Amino acid sequence: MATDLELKDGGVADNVVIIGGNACARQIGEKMEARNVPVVYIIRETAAGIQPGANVLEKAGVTDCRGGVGDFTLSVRQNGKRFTQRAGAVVIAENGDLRPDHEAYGLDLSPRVRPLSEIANGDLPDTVRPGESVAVFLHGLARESNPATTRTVMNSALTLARDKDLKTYVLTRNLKVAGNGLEKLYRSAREAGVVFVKFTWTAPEIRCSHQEIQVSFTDEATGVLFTLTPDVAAVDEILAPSPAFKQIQAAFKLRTDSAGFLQADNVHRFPVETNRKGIFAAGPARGLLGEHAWTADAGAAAEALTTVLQGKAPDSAHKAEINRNQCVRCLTCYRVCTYRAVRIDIARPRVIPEACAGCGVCAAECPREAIRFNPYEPSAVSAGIVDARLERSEELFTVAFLCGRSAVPAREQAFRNGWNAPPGLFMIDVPCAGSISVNHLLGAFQAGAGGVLVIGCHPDNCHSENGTLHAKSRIKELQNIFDKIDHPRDRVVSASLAANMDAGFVRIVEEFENRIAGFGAPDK
Amino acid sequence: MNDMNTTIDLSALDHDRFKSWPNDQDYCVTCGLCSSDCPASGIDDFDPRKLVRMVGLGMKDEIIETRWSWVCTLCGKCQNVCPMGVQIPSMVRQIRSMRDRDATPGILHKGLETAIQSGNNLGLPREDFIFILEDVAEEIAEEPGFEGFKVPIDKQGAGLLTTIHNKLVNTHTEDLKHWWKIFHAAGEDWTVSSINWEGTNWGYFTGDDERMKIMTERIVEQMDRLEVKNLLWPE
Ligand code: SF4
Ligand code: SF4
Ligand code: SF4
Ligand code: SF4
Repeated sequence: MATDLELKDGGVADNVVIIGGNACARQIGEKMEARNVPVVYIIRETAAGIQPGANVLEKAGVTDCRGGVGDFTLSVRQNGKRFTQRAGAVVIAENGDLRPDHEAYGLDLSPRVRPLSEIANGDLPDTVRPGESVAVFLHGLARESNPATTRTVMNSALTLARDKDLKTYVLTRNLKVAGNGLEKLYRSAREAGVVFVKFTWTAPEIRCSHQEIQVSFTDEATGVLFTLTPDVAAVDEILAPSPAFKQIQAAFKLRTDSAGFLQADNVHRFPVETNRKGIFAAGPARGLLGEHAWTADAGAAAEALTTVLQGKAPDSAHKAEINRNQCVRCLTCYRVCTYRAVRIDIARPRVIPEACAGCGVCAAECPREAIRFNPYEPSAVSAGIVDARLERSEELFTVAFLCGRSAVPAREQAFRNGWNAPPGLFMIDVPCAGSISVNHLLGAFQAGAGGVLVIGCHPDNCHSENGTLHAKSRIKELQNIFDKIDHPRDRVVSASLAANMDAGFVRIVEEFENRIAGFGAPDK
Repeated sequence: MNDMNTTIDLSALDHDRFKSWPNDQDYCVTCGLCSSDCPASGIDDFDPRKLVRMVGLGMKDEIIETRWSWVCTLCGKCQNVCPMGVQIPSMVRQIRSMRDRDATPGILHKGLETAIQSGNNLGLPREDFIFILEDVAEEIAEEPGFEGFKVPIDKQGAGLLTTIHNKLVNTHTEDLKHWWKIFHAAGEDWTVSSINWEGTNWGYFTGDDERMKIMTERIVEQMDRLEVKNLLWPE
């Protein structure tokens, strides 16, 4: 049943743009239309498969995406024409490329070594004779297998054994049959005579010449040495980013994972978020393969789109703001903002409040101190530290800056477990370790701190991607200054934590306190 | 298997050879749960997964030749844990049945031959059997509370017929007493047959279905002869 979304007041664009036209993209589109949200598809190919009447820009691509959630402006190119398309939110479900993984098996494609999809399509080399030949499937031997590929492998093996009467072997590591109907498929393949050989500790040795393929291995269950001389070997395929991914990544300024898919390897992004609020990556765009994974992602994307269009996505409490009179347009802020929340209006940077995630990194990095990030202004924070020093009578006074995503929850858990903070320690909660500038650190020392500790997330797991790294480089910067003035460099310390590491938090603070106690109180 | 180091051309094996066996062994996913649950795993390098796998691949000569199927105790623990429902003990019996009978382990072979001829694995004559039972009964009767105890051999129309494991009339006569005392205390109307009393069935253990049936039928015959409705077959 179609239901009207209650859209956020003042939202400029209430529609969704979907990049891609595959089954994952279509499911998202259908779900949004069922919620009466206007949908525009932008697809590189033709609109084949998309329901008639849908709003489709075919043979089109996006070259730029400006603005923030609820108000994106996409630059579109179609048939040599350029125009703009507004979007309240965007989801990218572009198709990747299936690539045979033969290189990982040390093989070249040849008349006998064929990609899985070719065999799956029934395209067999001439050397294969029904009723006589031997076929081998190489599956997931070089990297984790994908259940969708497993399905294709078992289906093809079943067909070869049953319909072509080939002796058919599947050489595999884990055979993941947890998906829908996969165990049944395994049983059918076994009934048809397919032999599965599972490798856990060992790997098959595959030699390949022009004349023949030789596979030898020890069956791990029995310890028996076997050889096979298959007439055809099917190598499985992996999903790789297509060349279009690079272009999409550049147009939307997305962080990619190590392979080049359009979602960074960062748990904070799962399932379908990207570094930009209101821009999502689903299915193949984030490296997923298979009907079930795509359906799950379509559901997650539809929920996420609905949430942001209704203005119900969690928003940050604090926003950065650029003081135009102080700004010299160096564009550091534009470069460091992971969330692409800094926009350039006629060579002047401006923070888009809807897109700003309130990390404070830009403010800490701006060489002109032109960015206000209330209430974390260095002057305000330093004043707070001075007050805290006055309240404490301890000889040794220390300051800790704690990232709100990791160190703060870890400390709260430590408190619940009965931890007592050292009386001379003053803790300041900040949204991201990357918001700590050299001025913040110096302010603490000026207020009489004997040591300063900054705790952020693990670098690979930072919500702002580089927040911890920024903090670490600020600290190095200050340590270099300390070296020059013969001040102990380790009076300022950085550490990384995950939010659930309460014991780690206690240990880090203890070690820090002991170390600073060793240095003694600073000279007045 | 004799030589683990010979290389076998896998595709030369007939993988469908044992497909007709009704033990679902072909569905094995080589998970190894059976092997980790089997009390005999490790004896002579045996583990049940090996056998299941060899049957699945159709390694006929190797499964007949290996001692492994004879290491198994047919306890059935493996089958309880197998996620794919492979009936391993039944498969093991099937393997055992493939050996020539005179190539089955000596004691089983000889015992079964003797049982088929004489009615029990020991070849114990009827008079000796009765003498041993009565001797044990006399010893019981000497104990307080069991005065006048007698063993009811061939009692027509008794409530319960019990078979006897041959070792109980050979080396373990003490164990007979435990059973009998319980019957006595419970006021059970029981009996023992003086012929074909053998409770073990080595036809079952050697995978010899034909002789297994003969041994079983003989027990049923005694129930008919003595008109007993209930059987206690402690094997
Ligand atoms: S970093 Fe600061 S000075 Fe540079 S462009 Fe941004 S606001 Fe202006
Ligand atoms: S505070 Fe963070 S999210 Fe906001 S504009 Fe600055 S760098 Fe971007
Ligand atoms: S039946 Fe045989 S293989 Fe199975 S657990 Fe018992 S001894 Fe092991
Ligand atoms: S438990 Fe069952 S499936 Fe697993 S190895 Fe043993 S026989 Fe095979």
